[in-house]
Amino acid sequence: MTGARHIVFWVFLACSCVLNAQSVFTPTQNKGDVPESFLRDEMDQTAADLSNRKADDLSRKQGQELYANSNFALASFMRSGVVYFGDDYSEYVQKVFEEIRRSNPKLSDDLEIFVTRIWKPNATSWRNGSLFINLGLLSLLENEAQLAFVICHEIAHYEEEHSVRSFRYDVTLKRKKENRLLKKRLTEGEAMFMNLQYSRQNEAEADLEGYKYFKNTGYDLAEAGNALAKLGDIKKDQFSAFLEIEAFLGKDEKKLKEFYKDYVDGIAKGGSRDEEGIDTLFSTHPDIESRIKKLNIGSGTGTGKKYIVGQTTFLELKNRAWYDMVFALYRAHEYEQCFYQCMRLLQEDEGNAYLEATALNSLYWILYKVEKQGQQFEFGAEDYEDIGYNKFLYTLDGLCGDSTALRDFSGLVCKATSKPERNDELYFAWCRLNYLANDDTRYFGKYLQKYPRGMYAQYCEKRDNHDRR
Amino acid sequence: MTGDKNMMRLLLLGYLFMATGCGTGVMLVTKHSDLVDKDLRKNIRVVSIEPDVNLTKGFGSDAEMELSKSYLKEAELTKLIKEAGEACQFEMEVVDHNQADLDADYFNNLAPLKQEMMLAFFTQFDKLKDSKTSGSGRLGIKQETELLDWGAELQQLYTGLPEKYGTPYFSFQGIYRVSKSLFFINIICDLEMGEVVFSDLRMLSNQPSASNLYPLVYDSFNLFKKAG
Repeated sequence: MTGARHIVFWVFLACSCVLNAQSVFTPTQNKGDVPESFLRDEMDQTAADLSNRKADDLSRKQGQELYANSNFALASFMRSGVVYFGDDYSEYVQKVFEEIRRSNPKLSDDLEIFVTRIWKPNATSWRNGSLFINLGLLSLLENEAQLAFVICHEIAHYEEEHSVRSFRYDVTLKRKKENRLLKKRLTEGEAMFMNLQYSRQNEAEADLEGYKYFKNTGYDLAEAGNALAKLGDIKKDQFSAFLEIEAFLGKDEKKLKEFYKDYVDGIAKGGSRDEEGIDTLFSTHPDIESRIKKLNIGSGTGTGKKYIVGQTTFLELKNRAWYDMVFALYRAHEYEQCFYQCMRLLQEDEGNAYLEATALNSLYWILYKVEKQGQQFEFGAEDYEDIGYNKFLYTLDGLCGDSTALRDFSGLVCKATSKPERNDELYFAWCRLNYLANDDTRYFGKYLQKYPRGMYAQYCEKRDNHDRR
Repeated sequence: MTGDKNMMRLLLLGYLFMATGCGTGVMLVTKHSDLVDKDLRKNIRVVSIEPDVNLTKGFGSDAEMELSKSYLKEAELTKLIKEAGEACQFEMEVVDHNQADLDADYFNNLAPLKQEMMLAFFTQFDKLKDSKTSGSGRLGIKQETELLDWGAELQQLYTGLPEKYGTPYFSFQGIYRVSKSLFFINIICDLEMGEVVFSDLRMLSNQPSASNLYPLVYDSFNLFKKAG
């Protein structure tokens, strides 16, 4: 029993250290020399691909279309600043990838792996062998073995040449759609459903082939099924986690009380959509249960390892990924979702200055749009396709039309801690927000007393200098 | 995967339809009203980030030809931006992969800033006030000048860049095909103010070439100089 207490104590201490470290969080940056893959010339690459083209694979014209489009799109993606290099995520994922390659020596030398700042939980495989793991996925997977399975799945997409095959299938469908000599041409709808069906076949094949690579590694095979199950949960749960909104509320905000009640009711009724039949029909992936079943993992397979490269590193990076994702959401102007994630993380990491400041900054931009442009965020159901139905986001959207309610809302984070003055950035964000809500003097006055040379003073000084110029 | 890029195109598309649909002309220049009636802006340093050219009509079978053309024009535009900017007495720094290899700072700061300029401008643009029409443009196309009483506000994530690059002015130029028309865009922001201070959007009447692009780019920078 004493041993168990010790373990609990050290685990608690370790978690506290990790969480406290995030209080002074600075977003992960690229470091060192830029890898050659980021600087590859798209024209040269297209010319090289065309000269290496297998004659029986694609016609020259098809090759020109496929290679040019994919190389130019990839070059633009690599230069967009969303792909990491020289950082801890890339280093760790590269090691897991090397572990897979070591166990599968016949894998192509063209394969390269990268981590992106993208918050959507997804991984992708490109025609040239570039694999991308999104930060959103890294933050959700439970262990290294699950990550390894996802990588194996993406490798299988490349090794089975799914992008080239999909392109060819698309060309065939296009002919069947446009050829006037055919008695019965395909309609747009038929072509779309056939394309989706073909995509689901490719995914099923990537599962099976990827599982073969995964079997050669020393990872726990049961984690392949767990990884798929985790991916299945994403659509329902990613933005539907229960928020203890009441913990952030003061006594006077009636509207927020109503908001909270509405939100809780929504969760109680089942916050996620129950339209799996329709979802499956329009999905590019088969349903998760059948994917797991087809892997035929069987019993007695849980003997492998959950970690080979390192458990501590994985858990640290997984935790850090949530904070980097908040930064990525904010930078991409996804303010409602950014705010939601800040609030969710604050439940576990109460008082984190970075999260509080980012939550307030997000609210500032939500209110900014209402005040300056007289517009509400207008989202339709299709905007939530990727993230699942979410009562919270819908309700926040509804609140945007009411600046009083939003101003009350702005007090949420600060009232929870009652110590906004402890951090310049946090206080500054709060002041900006209240400034937009036409209540500037009281808060700015207090702020300037506390931070006479703080962020706001510097901001004013720069503005004055600029005007003088 | 190219979500951000596609989003830019969508925003651009939406905006351009709005601009052309209202029948006010094919050239739109916006300036921050604070900048009007001040001394001429010259001898300042302007950083231009990765100019873009996209002449493609879609993902059709002529993709390679269209993308190759865009690629060559992009290199041409990059060169012209430097020449035209310097002719307007600006000290130009063009950060572009056609000129030199990109460094880590580009990927950490400049590439996201370029996206931020586009996002901020196109999402906040529709609140223009005090507009006035300045008559026919010098290039034989109708033009309209809009004066804003506030500029599109940028996020406070890039405040370290002015010190690093020795200037608060960062810009982005590009040529895009929207439907059947080609457009040139020039957006300049002031990171000390945290705002987009100048933007210029014009429809091109001809296929872009060195001879017709230079006066266009020069004219755009010249307007910025006079707006100062």
